[in-house]
Amino acid sequence: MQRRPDVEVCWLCLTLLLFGLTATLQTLAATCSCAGVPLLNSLDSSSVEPGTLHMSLNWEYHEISDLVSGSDDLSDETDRERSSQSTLLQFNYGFSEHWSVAAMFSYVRHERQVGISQFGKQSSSGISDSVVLAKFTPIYITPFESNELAFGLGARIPTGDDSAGGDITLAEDMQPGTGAWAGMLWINYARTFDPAAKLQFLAISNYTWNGDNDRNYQFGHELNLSAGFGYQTEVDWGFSGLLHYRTTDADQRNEVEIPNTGGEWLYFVPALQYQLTTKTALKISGRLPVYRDLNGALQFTTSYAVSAGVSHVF
Amino acid sequence: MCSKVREVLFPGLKTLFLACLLYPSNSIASEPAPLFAAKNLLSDNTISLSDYTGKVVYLDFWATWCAPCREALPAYDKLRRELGTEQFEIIGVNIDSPTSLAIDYLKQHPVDFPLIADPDGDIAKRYGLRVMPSSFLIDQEGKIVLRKKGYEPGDEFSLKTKIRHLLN
Repeated sequence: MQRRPDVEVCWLCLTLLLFGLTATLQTLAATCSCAGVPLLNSLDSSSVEPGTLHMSLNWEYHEISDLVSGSDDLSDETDRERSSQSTLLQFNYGFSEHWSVAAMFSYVRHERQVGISQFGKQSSSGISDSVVLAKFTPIYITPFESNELAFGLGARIPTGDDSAGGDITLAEDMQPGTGAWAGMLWINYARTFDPAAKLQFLAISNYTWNGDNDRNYQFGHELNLSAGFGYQTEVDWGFSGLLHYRTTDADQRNEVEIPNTGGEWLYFVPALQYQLTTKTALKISGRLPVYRDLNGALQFTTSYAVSAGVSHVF
Repeated sequence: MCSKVREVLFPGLKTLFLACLLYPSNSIASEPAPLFAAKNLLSDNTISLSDYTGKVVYLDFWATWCAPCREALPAYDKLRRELGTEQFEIIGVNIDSPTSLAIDYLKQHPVDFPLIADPDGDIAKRYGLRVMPSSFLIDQEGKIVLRKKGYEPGDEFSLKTKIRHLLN
């Protein structure tokens, strides 16, 4: 069965949203100046003190209008525009010295315009899927320990609506949720080079096993790897730059692979954070495509993404 | 399936959100403060926590590489002068390695309260220190009643209220 290139967009949106949990909002472990506020905000801080709650709220705009054949960019002559906006609420709570739990809830809005006709415009919005991740951190960064290692096991819960569209159900790429459960394995490593942890090396990976939904549609299993450096100035500012590699298997319906799905992507993910108070931080970040090699003849994929967020430690 | 999940999940999320809003900024504990004895940073004598039994003690971990720590030192010194040392004391625990960094810094920015050196983090680890600055308020019975993370100018005012409450 030939699937429209748009269908891949759905998976792209959702997986990048999930990757927001585990990579793009990667934090620098903090040993100074910030009372434990993750320096680049959000949920992905693996080291959370017992009884401490990190909470963050992020908004992301994702433009998905690049048309690609293999690794070649093509000119799209259909005047097609596709974008998604997501709002993510994330929690990370430390239960004990080594154990924490992370959770992410999101609300998404999809928009698509094909051609200049008003009838070619579609949109949908709603609560999307959620993620819960149990994390074990055997080694964490302190002024006396320069390495951090954490493992996580979790699930994506199909809390999102996957039947939006009323009488005529919209295509998968326009649905807020997938309608399918998924299992997630997550590994995080960080290394500091000074007691204040100003400069850090970061490496994050995760693997997602996707189940199928009620329509027997299964998104391809996915591997994400990110590595890069972060730097925190003495008081208020933090920067990071990561290279993010992503690869996915082809999607399947009724266990039959669907063409024009899956492939490899490489992104550059810069981020800038400002520490508003010792407990609150603001952050902006982007995601820029560096390289992609996608399966099949045509796929629409990321043009760019930008996000802004605020995090607070309780 | 999705609607059932939502029925359970979203009330839970709402509860969690409200809990976040009500959660205290600095955790309040009530456990015995680990005892220690360490060399005075600026002299050869030894300072022990047990020397201060019966007094309220504010234990402040600091380092010269930590900007908020440096900012807090004169504020805590002023707080100590205001509260007096009859029933209250501040102990500064410096974790710089080498210790000479702190000694050089204190020549330029002296403080009056007792200071000890913990370059290997032996004391810091016993207090479960992860971030800097971190401070612990210890009551007259030797119990930790407040774990404070971070420092912002003005924090000493709310701290003074808590200490006065313990002293009365």
